[in-house]
Amino acid sequence: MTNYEKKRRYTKVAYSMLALSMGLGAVPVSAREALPPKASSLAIHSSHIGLRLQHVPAGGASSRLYRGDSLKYFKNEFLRKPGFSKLLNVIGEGGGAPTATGVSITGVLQVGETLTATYAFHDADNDNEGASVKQWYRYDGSIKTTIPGATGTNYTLTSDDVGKYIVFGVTPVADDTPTTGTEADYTTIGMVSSPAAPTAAPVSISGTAAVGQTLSGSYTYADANSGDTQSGTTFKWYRADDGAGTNKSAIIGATAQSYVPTFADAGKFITFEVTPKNAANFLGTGTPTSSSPTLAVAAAPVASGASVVGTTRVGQTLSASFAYMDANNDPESGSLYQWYRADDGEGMNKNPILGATSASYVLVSADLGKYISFTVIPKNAALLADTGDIRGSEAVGAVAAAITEPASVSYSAFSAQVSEEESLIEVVAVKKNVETSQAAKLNLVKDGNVIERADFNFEADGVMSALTEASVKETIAVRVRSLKGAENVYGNITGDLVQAMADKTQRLAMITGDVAIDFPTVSIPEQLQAGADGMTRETKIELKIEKQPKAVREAAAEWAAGQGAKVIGTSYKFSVKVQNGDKTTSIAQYGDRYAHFTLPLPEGVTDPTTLAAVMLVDGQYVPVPVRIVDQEHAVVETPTNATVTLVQRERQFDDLSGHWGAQDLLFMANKDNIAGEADGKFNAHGNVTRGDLATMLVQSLGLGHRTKGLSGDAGFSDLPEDAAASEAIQLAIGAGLFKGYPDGTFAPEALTTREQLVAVLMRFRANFELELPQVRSESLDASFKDASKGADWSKAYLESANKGGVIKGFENDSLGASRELTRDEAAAIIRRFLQHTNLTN
Amino acid sequence: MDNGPKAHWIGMMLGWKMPENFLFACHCMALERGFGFYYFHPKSVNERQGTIAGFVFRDGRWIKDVFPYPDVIYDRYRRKGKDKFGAYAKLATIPMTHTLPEKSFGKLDFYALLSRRAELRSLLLPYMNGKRRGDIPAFIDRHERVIFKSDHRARGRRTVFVTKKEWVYEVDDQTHVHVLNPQEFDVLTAMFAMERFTVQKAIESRTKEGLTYSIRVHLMKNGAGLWCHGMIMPLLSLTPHVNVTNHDHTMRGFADWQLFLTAQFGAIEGAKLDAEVRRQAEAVALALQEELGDGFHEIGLDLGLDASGTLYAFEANIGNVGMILHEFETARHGIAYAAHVAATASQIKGAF
Repeated sequence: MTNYEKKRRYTKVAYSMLALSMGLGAVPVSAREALPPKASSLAIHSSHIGLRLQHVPAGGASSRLYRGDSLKYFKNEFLRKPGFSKLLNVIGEGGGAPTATGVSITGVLQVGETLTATYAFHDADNDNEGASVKQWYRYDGSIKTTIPGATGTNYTLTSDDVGKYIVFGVTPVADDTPTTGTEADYTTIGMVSSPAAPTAAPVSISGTAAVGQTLSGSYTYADANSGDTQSGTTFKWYRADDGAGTNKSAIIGATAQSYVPTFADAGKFITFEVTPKNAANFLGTGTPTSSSPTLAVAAAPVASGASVVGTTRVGQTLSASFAYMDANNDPESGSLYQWYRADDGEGMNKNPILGATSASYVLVSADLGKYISFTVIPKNAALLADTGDIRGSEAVGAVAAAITEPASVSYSAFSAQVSEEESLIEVVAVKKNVETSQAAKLNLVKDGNVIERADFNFEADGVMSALTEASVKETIAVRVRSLKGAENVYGNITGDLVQAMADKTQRLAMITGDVAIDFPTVSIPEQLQAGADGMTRETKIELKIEKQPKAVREAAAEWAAGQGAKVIGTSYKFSVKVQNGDKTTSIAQYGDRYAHFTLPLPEGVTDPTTLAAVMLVDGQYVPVPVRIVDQEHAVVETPTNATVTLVQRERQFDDLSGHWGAQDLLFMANKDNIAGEADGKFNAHGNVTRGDLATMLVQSLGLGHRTKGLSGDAGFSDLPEDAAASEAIQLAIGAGLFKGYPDGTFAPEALTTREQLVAVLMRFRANFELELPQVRSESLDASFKDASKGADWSKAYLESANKGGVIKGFENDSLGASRELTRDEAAAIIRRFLQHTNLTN
Repeated sequence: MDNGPKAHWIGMMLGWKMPENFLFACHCMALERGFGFYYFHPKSVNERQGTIAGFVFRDGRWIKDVFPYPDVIYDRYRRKGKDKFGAYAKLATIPMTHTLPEKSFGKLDFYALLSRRAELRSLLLPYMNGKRRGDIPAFIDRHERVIFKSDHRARGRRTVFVTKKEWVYEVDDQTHVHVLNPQEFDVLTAMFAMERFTVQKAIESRTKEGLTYSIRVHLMKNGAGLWCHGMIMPLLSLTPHVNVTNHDHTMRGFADWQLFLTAQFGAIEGAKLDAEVRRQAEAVALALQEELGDGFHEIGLDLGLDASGTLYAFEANIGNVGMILHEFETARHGIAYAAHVAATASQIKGAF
C-alpha cells in the first residue's frame, strides 16, 4: 500500500468516526471499507468531541526512546528529502505518445491520378504535431511494399500500381516528449485501374435549320473508367457548302451545345462536333465525334439596288431606297439603317453619322463637300429568318448645299472670298429646324485675316416666311457656325419683322461659331413703349456683339483679383438699338425676361461649379447666371444688355467639411450668389432674414442694377441704411420676388421660412416665364409626411417646387415647410431652382 | 443544470490530484455563475494553438477535451516562477486568481510580519532563524521547550521538539525520543541547517482530554473580492505524542468548531474565543494584503492557545491551502472570486 493510499484510508476512517460522533445520520460507505487499526487501538468515545482514537503506539516517551544512532537516523531517515512525487493530476496520467486517427485516402484509383491522404493528429498532452512520418505502400492482398519516395500526403499513381491496393501509413510525431506514436494506416478498398479515354456517341442535331432558329446538339458520354465523370467536354459547329462537307469550316465562336444560324449560314449545311473530356490526367480527352449535317439553312430577306434619293444640299432630306425581297414573302418590317459620310465617292474616311439611323437623313453643314451613303439590313416580322443580308448603297455625289440655289448675297468690296461664308447662312426656326432661303445677307469686312465686322442683313421675305412657319414662342435664328473670331457681329433687321415675331412671342437669335445673342422680341416694343405702330418697316433695329478692348478685360481682371476670382476669356458687349427716324433708343433691359448671351469658353474650362459670370452695369460688376452648353461655349442668362465677362472662382470654407450640401453651397458661393461670413466661414446653419434673402436672390438670378423703372417702390419705412442692401430689396420686389406688408414696412430683419423661399421662387418663375420641367411624379402629400402642415397659401408653390425638383425635404421624409430657413437650405434650394430652370448647369 | 456550450470559461490549473468533490463543486459553482469549468495540467497548454487540453464534467463524468483559453484561471498550481512547463508565461494574458511567485512568503516572512505589525504582535511566538546555530542553545535555555520547523511545506514532518534536560537535549521527532549531548546536538543543528529552518518557542494547545490541537482558519476572498472565513476547524492529534496536528503520517481528527468551542470552553468563553479568532484572522488577512497586494486569495492560518488561553499564530500559508472537509466552501468562494477576477479584467478591457 502506498503512502497515498494509506493516507486516504486513514482519512476515510477519520471522516466516518467524526460523522458518527457528531450525530450525523449517514456514515460514508468508505468508513465501512476502512482498514482495521494496524496497531493496538485506544478506543475512547467522547460524547463531547466525539473522537475515536486509534493507531496509537503503546507507551510514553520512555517507550519511544531511540536506541540506535540518533544522528545517523536523522541524517538517513528523518531529514532525507522525499523523492519527487509522481502524483500528478489525472491529466498527466496516461499522457503520452501521440496518435493518428481517421486515416483516409481520397482520389481516383487510376494511373495518373493523385491520391490524397488525410488523418487527425492527437496528443494527450495537447502537444503540437511534429514531423510525423508518412509512407505510401502497394499491397497485393498479401504483401505490402514500400513505394520509394512516396512520403508525403499526396501520391500520383503510376502504371506499377495497376492491380494493386494502395496503403497510406502515418507514424504520428509530437513536438514534445513522448514524441513518437504508433503507425496508423489506411488501405484503399479498390485496386488501381488502367485509364481509358471517354467517348461521345451518338452525336446529333435537333431544331429547325434556319437563320435565327436554335439548333441543339446532343450526345451520350461514356467512359470505361466508371470513376471518370464528364468534365470540360468541348463543342464545335461547322458550316459547309453541301451535305458532303465541301468547304467545311468551323464557325468562329460557336462553342456551346446550341447554335443559332446567322446570315452567313444561309444555304449552308451545319454539323455539330463533340470532344468528350473528363478530369483524368491521362487519356482524359476522347476523340472528336461529329453529327450528320443539317439540311441547308433557310435564307433571309435580301436588300438590293440600294440608292440615295434627294437633293444634296444642306437642310434637304435624303432618303434611302432599296429593293426588298424575301423567299417567304414576309413583308419588310424594322429594317436597320446607318448613314455614312465620306471624303470622296470611293469612301475615303468613311464614317457613320452619329444618330443617322432612320430611312431618311437631313443634311447639315458638316456634310458640306462630303459624300453620303447608307447601309440597310432588311428585316421582316416573321419569326423565321427575320434578319437578312447587309447590302450597302451606292455612294452618291458630293453634297454642295446652296450652290445650285444660292441665297441673295451682296459682295463686299473687302470680301475677296465670300462665297464660302455665303453658303453658311441659315435662317431657321430653331425648334422646327426649317431652313428658309433668301432670308439674310452676310457681309464680312476683313483686314487681312481678321474679320473686323460681320454684318447680318435680314431679308424681309425670308424672315417673314420663317417666322410665319414657326410656331409661337419659337426662336428665329440666323446662324453661321463657321464664323469665328469676328471682332464685331452686327445684325440689322426692320421693326416690322421684330413686331411680327413679338406678336407670336418669338425670340430672335443671331448666332456665330463663338458668340450669339438670343432675346425675347416682345421686349423691344415693350421697352420702347411705342405700341405696335412704332415698329414699322422703317424702324431699324441693330443688334451688336462687340469684342471689348484689352483695357476692359484688364479692369475686370483687377476687380476679379480683389474678389478671389480670375477673368477667363474675352469680355463682350451685347446691345440692341432701335432707330426710328432721327430717334435712337438703346434697349437696356428685356423686362421680366432673360436674354441668352453666348460667349466662347476658353479651352480646358469644363467645371460649371467654378465658372461664374459678371456683367458691368453702371460701373459695377454684378453676378449673372451662366451655364456651360458645350466644350466651346457658355451662355449667360440676363435680363440686361451689358458687357459680360466670364470669371472663375474657387472658394473654400473650413466649416463645410462633411456638410450634406457642400457641393451646392460652394457652387453658389463661387458664383457670388451667397457670400461667406466675415470670419471666413460659411455658417451653414445661420438664419436668413428677408433682407438677406433679397440680396441672395438678386445675386443668384442676375437682377443686379436693373433700371429704376423695373425696381420696386422704395416707399417702405424700414429699408436698411446700407444702400446695396436697400437696392437689393427694391430689385427683388421689382422682380416680383417679394411683397411688402400692408403697414408700409418690408421687415428686412424678419426671419424667413422654407415655404416663403419656395413661394418667392415660384412667383419669380411665373413672372419670368421660366420653364420648370417636371422631374417628380409624386404629389407633395405622397412625398412628405408633413406636407399637410404647410400653410395653405404655400401649397401650390410647394407642389410646383416638389414636382420641379426644387425641394427635396429632409432625410426623414419631412418637408419642414414652416421651419425657419437656414443659409445652407436657402443656398441649396436656390441652386436647384437655377439648375432646373436651366439658368445654370 | 445547463451543460451547453459556454462563451466564458474558468480554467483551473492543477499540478496534482485534487478531491473529486472539490472539482465537482467547482463545476457546479461555475455553472451557477454562467461559466463553463475545466481543469488542466500546466503541460497541456498549447500556446501556438491558443488551446488547453483539460477535463470538463459532461454527462456525469469528467471528459477530456480541448478548450480555448479561459476568461480566468483559478490557479491551484501556484508555482509561478518555478513552473517547469512555462504555463505562466504562455497564459500571461489571462487573468489569474493567484499571481504571487512561489515561496514568496515563508514562515520567517510571516513571523517578521507579526513582529512589524503592532496589532498582530500578540500572536507572535518567540522565534529565531535556524541559521544562527550558535544562538540556539541560549534560545532553548530561555524557552525550555522549542520546536525546529523546516521551511519547506513540512506538514508536520521533519519537525522536532527540543527540551533541555539538565545537560542533555531531549529531541522528540514525534515518533522517537532522542537524547543528545551538546556535541551531538550541535551536529543535529548543523544537519537542520543544511536547509532553511526556524526555531520557535513550543506551546501546546490541549483539549480537556489531553489531545493536542491547533485551529485552522481558512480565509478566502469571496465573489466581491473581500476576505471571508471559508472554514474554522480544530485539528486534533489523535496520537498523544504527535503534537503537530497536521502531521500526515499519523492519525488526526477534525471537529466542528462550534461544538468544539462549547464542549471545551463553554458557551460564553467559547463565543469569546470564536470572536477573537475571527478578529485576529481578519487582522492577519488585511495585514498580508497590505504587505503582499492582491495576488492571492487564500490563507491557511494555524493558531494555537497556550495554557493561559493566549492565542498564537503558528504559521500562515498563502499557497495551496488544504480544504479537507470543506471542499464545497472552498469551491464556492474560490469560483466566486475567479468570476470576480474575470469580470474585473473584462471591465478593464471593456469587453463586456
